Amino acid sequence: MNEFFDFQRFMPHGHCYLWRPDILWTSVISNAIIAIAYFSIPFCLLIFISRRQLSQYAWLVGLFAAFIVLCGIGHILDIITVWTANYPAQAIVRALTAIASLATAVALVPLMPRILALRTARELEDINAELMLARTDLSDTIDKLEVSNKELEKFAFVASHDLQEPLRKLMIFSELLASNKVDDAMRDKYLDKINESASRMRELVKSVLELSQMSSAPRQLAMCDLSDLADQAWGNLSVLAQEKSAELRCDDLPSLPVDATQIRSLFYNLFHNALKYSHPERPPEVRVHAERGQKCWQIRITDNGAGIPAEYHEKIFESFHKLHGSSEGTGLGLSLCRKIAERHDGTLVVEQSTTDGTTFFLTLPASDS
Amino acid sequence: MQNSLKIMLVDDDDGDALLAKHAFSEADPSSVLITKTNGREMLDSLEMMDACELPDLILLDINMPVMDGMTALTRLRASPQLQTIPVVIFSTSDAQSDVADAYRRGASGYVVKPGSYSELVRITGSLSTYWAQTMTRADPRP
Repeated sequence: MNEFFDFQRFMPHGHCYLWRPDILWTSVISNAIIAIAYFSIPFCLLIFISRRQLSQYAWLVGLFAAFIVLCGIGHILDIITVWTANYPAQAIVRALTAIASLATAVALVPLMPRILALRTARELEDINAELMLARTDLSDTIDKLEVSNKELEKFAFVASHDLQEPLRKLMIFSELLASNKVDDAMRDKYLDKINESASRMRELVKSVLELSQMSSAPRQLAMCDLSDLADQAWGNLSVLAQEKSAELRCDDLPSLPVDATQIRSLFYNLFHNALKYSHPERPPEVRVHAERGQKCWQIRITDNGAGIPAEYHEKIFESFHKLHGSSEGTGLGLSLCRKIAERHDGTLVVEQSTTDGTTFFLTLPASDS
Repeated sequence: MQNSLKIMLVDDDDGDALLAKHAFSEADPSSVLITKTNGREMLDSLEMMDACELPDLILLDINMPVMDGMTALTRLRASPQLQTIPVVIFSTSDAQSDVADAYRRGASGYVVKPGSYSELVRITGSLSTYWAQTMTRADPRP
């Protein structure tokens, strides 16, 4: 053993360079730089492992670090042996390096698939971008849901209030009739009121149902002449129209793929409002005019009624909003009309309204767009 | 001295007007009920009256066509001839915002329309009694 560590009989490596300074110093400086580089690599690996939270691979990195450090020591010994021929120490370090390098290589082979499966920085960037996009979408959906929830709460509040009103009348008039405090003449009047309240309740429930079906029922589109649908809607109002000497002036309207029942209902509601809220000093007149836009048909429904104040132009489309006081209508007609337009990928707004009348502006997609 | 309570009910709902009439005639048979269907009609009618013809009490609904109750109340309180008439809001709304708004505009009271006839008679009875007591205090002569 002592013989193994005895290096006095060896010549220093400098003799092989014939002590030529150019070769000697090139070799020494290169070895020094390589050693410094090798010693710094384990620190970089340590930072990488801790930053990327890859603690499960710490043992492998430790092994690799030992291999690199031993390589570095090998290069230091290469410098030392230029002047001092300590080849035994160099041989031991080489042996240790061989063991460390072999162990690293053996450990690395089965881990290769897992290491290859690790995402590259580019892939991680792409995934991050996708996640950001998904988060924005999710945030938009949450915002929409919150708005929808608020609308639903408002709808439930107003619906319950409006439904309670006829119910209250039913209860009070029934109580009064049952109390025997009414004479025969009043009895008939109160029975009429009970009937009125029950009819109003039925009308409200029917409208609420119609509105909810509008959101859930699938669309049944078929090519229809809108002039025919407008005429049919007006026909359904013939009694009221005659009573008020009302007139419909409908220009040629296009044929479009629509749900006939829904569009007829839209015309019916707009015409009904025009008749119901007509100006007291002139017979109602409703004009329907269509123009072809770039991608859609623009249909204007104009009446000569009392008009709608500007601050109500949007509010009238809210469910249960009643412009003309508390007792008339359900407050659902225009809300239903807008839903119908939207279900057809169209829009419905008040274009203008003065004391001379109101123009509703309906757009429906052109069939060839 | 006038000794019957004169009430003006302002409500566009003829069912409620009918019920109030029945309830007042039961609670205080001597009371007189005048009905108006909106705020504008109420103000026009009051402005045409002499001071001695003015109602002792106004029961005012909120949601009405032409002119709503809150607007009518504000205008009434701004009128030197009419501002002293007691006005009790008589509405289906029990929203705190409506109650606060009514008092802010000068309402003398706020009554939510009841869900039963017996409750309505109780309310009209209380209003009649309150009015009778006020009149007695104002004129203590027998």
